[in-house]
Amino acid sequence: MSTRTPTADLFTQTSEAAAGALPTPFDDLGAVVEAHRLRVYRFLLASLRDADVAETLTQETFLRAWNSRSSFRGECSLATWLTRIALNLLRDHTRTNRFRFWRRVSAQAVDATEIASFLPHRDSALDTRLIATEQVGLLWQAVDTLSERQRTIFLLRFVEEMELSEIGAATGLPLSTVKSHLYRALAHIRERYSKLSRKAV
Amino acid sequence: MNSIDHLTEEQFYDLVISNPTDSSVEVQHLRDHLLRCPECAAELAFLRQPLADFRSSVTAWADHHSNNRSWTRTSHPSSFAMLSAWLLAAAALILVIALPFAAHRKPATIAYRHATYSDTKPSAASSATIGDEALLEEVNQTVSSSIPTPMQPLADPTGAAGNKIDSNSRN
Repeated sequence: MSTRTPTADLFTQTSEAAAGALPTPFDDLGAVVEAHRLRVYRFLLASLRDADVAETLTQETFLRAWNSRSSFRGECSLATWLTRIALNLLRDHTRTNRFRFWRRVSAQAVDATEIASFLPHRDSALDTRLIATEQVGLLWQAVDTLSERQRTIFLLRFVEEMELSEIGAATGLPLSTVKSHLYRALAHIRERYSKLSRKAV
Repeated sequence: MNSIDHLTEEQFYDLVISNPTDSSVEVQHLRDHLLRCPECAAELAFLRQPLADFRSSVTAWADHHSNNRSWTRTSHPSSFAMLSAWLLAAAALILVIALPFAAHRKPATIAYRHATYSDTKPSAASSATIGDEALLEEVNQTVSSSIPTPMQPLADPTGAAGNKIDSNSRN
């Protein structure tokens, strides 16, 4: 069963009106939303750990993309371009509502163990499942301690599986800086994860 | 690099970051080392496996939330289109119901309006004309009279007084 989003519905008619212009990916905005919504939402959800805010910012990402579609010249992939918009929104949100954001996080943020419980288990052995779930929980705890930029780059690489060049294009950082942030993030996570693992054992 | 010289931290992270499909010479060189060095291979697996599980859990978690979000609906018409359709249907129904009544009432209304128009307008106009004429007549009388109205009793003071006296004396 196919699904459509309100954002897609909202712009369907306008997309038809724009059909006379040069062909762009936004000629079929419904398809763009369908193709990228989950990815954008997943990234925002993982960054904020607040499903409501993630949903709002996801909708806002596509709205902003539509409004500034003329600035998309295909220099990077559409996914990268949308990620850049989502990143800007995320930054605006965490900066302007920083206090409220942290207060909300403390009240509503999803617990790391809850996220870990979503781990699909290919192995049915109970002890293996428990260990994997615990490891993911520990990794989340380690990710929580990263700086905002490191966490963003880490999530883009290890959750969204973006290429380093794409991360550079989305964040506006040089490739060397992206690499350096990733190295630091991994070093931090490795250290924290080792500590937490030892503690757990 | 031999098996005793373990991977540097940077090389280790290069391997963690690299894609499985990456076939560059540098990465291939590091992979060759892993085949010879079980310690580095174990260290890499120690970090790689949780990272893979981390991604799987985030993906499943986001899928779960996304499916429960309001934006995910079946491919039925949008709520706006549905609402418009309902409003249109309601308007059509009201029209169908109201049309016979309107058609029935129309001649009567027109007749009433005609009657009202013909009754009220001439009467109002005639009363206005009469009023104007009366006013003009009064003005004419006032202007044409030799003695102004306030001085009328003085026109024939003797006659009037004499009459009065006469009548009084007769009484």
